Amino acid sequence: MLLTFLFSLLLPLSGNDDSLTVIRLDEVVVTGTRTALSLMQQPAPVHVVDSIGLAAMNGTSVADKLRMLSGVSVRSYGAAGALQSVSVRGMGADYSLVLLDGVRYTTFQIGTVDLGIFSSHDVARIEIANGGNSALYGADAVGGVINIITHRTGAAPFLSASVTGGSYGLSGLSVTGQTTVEGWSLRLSASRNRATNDYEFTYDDGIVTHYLRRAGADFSSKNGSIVVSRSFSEDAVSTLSLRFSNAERGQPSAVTSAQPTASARIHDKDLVMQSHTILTVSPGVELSVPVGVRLYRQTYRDPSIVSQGRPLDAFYDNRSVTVGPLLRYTITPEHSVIAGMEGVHATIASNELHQAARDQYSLFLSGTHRLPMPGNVLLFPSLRYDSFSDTEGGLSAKVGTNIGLTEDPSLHLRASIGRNYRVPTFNDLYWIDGGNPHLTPEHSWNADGGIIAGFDAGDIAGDADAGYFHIDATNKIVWRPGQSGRWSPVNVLAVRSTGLEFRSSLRFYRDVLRLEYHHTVMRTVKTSAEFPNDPTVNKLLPYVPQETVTLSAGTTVAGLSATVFYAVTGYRYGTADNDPRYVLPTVRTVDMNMSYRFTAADAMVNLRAEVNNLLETRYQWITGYPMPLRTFALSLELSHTP
Amino acid sequence: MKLPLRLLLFTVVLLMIGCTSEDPSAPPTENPLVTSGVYILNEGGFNTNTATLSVFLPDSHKVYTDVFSAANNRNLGDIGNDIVLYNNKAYIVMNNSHRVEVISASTHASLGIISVPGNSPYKLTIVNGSKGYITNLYKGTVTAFDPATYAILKDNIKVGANPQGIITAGGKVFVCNSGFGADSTISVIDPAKDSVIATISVTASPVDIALDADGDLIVVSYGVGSYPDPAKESSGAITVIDPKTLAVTATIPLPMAVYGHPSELTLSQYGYGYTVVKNGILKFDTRTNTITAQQFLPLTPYAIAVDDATERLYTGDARDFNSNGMLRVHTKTGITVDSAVVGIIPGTIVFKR
Repeated sequence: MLLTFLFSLLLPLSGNDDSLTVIRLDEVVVTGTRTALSLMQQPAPVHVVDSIGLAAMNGTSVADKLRMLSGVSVRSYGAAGALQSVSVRGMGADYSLVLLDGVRYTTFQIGTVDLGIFSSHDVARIEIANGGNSALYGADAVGGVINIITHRTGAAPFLSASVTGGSYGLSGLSVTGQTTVEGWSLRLSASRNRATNDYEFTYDDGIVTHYLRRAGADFSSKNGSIVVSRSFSEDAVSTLSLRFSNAERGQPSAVTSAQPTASARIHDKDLVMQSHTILTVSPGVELSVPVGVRLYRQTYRDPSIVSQGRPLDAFYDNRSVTVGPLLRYTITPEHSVIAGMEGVHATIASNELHQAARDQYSLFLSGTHRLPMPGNVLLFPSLRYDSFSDTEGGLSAKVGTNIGLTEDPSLHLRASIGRNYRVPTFNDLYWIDGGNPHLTPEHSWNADGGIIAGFDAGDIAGDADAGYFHIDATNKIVWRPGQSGRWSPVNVLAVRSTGLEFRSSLRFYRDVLRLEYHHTVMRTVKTSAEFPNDPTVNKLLPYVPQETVTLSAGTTVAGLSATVFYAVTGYRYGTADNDPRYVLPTVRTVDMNMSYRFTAADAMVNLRAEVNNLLETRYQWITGYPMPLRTFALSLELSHTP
Repeated sequence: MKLPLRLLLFTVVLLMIGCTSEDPSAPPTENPLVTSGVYILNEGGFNTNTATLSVFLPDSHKVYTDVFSAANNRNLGDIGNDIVLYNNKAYIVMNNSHRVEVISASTHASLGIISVPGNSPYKLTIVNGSKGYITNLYKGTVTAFDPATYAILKDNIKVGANPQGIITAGGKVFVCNSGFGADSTISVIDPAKDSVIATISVTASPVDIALDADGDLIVVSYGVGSYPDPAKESSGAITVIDPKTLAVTATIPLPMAVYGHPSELTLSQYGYGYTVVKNGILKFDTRTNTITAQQFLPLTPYAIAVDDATERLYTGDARDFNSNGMLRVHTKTGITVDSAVVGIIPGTIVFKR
């Protein structure tokens, strides 16, 4: 039952309205607790961007789809295809663990994932569990866990193709097909995106304002995926997936003069193979065995940086194998446990790092218990042990609760507390020019508490989640230069991030009009002194906003949909001592899209137009990386279901 | 309580004696040097346009942290790597803004900009009122410019790899080709020809160069770092060059097991100099070319400069390289007598007289 249910979550939701999705607290998610539970039952907030939401949001990358969520910050270095990092609760992108279909996708080499080149084309759904989750997922789940769930195969055959064109040479093509042959389900998808990204921007050197065009920011990416699945019996399903992406792009440097350098190129080749087998061993006992292999090669070249007689030409070959068998045991309807283990073997070969390998062995145990007391009290204890061949592991524990006060209208309280950690990356440990093999993991205490509410009064329905979070991280690794300019990482920093997250949605007249509002107020500060009278203590970390507000409104009437997005990101300091001279001002942007879906002959036709930065706001997420002004994209999608 | 107080007094008296007996060997001079101000160029954070120019007044102990912005109502730019005073003007090399800012050394008002797009300008020397040179760190070239008109006279004068320090001596210009370990030469440029007329071999990775009291050139070589091949790491050294004959006349080896890799250089006209090594500031005699103190001070600052007016050593501490750095002033005997907070990453210190 659970199996079928989980699979139904992953089905392509073709034929749905592609206007704004709104949070619905009856929506079931798996990332927050590794157990399928509704949003109303979670111990900490979980965001869901399902296929409807993915289609409703502008842009073509996974990062583009996450901009509106509370507690989540997306920092972009430019237009389509540019580097984008996603961080949760102010903790930096390398403090959030990215999973691909539940399997660790974050490499041990760098700890961050560039979601700006992760195409959303074959993504079915994204779940983000805000907060620490090392007791379930191990290392690096400090700020949050981002689980990218790709499309699985479905029963109904279909074929769809789309073509996109837009500003600054933006073009896209994609094809997806699905069929079933003798009990085997097959899904194939391929997409290609490119853009020249030669957009206008201004640079003010204090004397004159230069009107310039971004150069060397073009990108081209090809993505493909094959998913094969088969039910061998009612009790056994296997899915095999292969995902490939190849992205080549320019990475112009920060604009620090009227003639910025634009010669750096980044080339990413990524191959991920996964198999997921789910066996129902006996009623209430289910074994799932995910196996993942990832081969990821990045090259970074910059002919303008000539050092030691050679232009900069770095390569990073990451290889990893992950096996993570998991046993779910439903003891009674009130009590269930998950016992799992995970083994990872990861290697790095690079001309910038010493050759290195890491073996990880992990065990974890997690429970979901409905307590025998009045009301609806859920308890989520979890414990995980990780051991690494080249660095310290240890125990992580977390306990969460969800207390149902009333149902219809629903009112639940949620809380969690846990110990989390991040391991030193291969870069930290093995960088030839300064890596520090003596680094130890960073640890944090995370606490969370909030209230979840929902109502459905026929013509109007709504949901809301409001809560407080607290993260105390110590032993943080930062790179600091020593004598003679050699930079090395050291465990010196302590950081505290505290904040309030609020999100709510209202739906009118059975989704004819939908509104969603997210609001985050947080304060992420350095709490440790690196030397006497360190002026950066209790100062906000650079680039982390104290406040973000997003508002989305969508409507769908007779196949015609429209969505408007309004986002405000508060000012950010550019320096560690919060010097008021170097402030990135508050950013207010408006994006929108319209689509019209109709049937012509045998095909479903979807015409879509999107506008980004409608108000032509000049802004930067990172100093020196101007974002484009208003851009457009038009797309036509045809799909055929026999 | 009495004893410590007496000890303290005793120490203070000793310190005072130390201070007053500071320069017994200082030669009498009819025109004594007077340092009216100390300029500290703070690099600022990479890509953040946070370079600043600070001024420290040694007499009043006043510090002005950002005189360029105050005078010009704009930021100095990105990564300030060098400042040279000449004819009451300051030439400030803004590496990642690809320009040289020229300001009045009195009012700090901007007088002009020497724009060198794509050059990554690093260090600068002025030969005379109509000729100066800038090293271009990632291009392996030197640019000739006119310090009066700010015009580029000749770009792309080919030198060695990753040129860093540059100086004028005996009518010629000497360029340290570090190659970040891959080069080990000094290019000699004839300003009349704007071309390299000779190349001198020194210990690997020469980074900084200065003229000593005897008229010799002193070069600090970093050696070869452990990157990218730890097996090829090699020691640095101090090399002495006669600028007339272009011959290497002495070498002070600095074995990396003891000293790590040296960086930074400042020379006094009273016959000694300092460089920064693994465990602190090393002092050496430029007359005998020998090390006189392996650890003159247990500091490893990012910038050092000795002021011949007082023989005090100024050091720039970049601290965490994120927040404002610290300028410290030390006497000839190594006592720290003053300090001031300056800008982010104080990297170059020069004296206005």
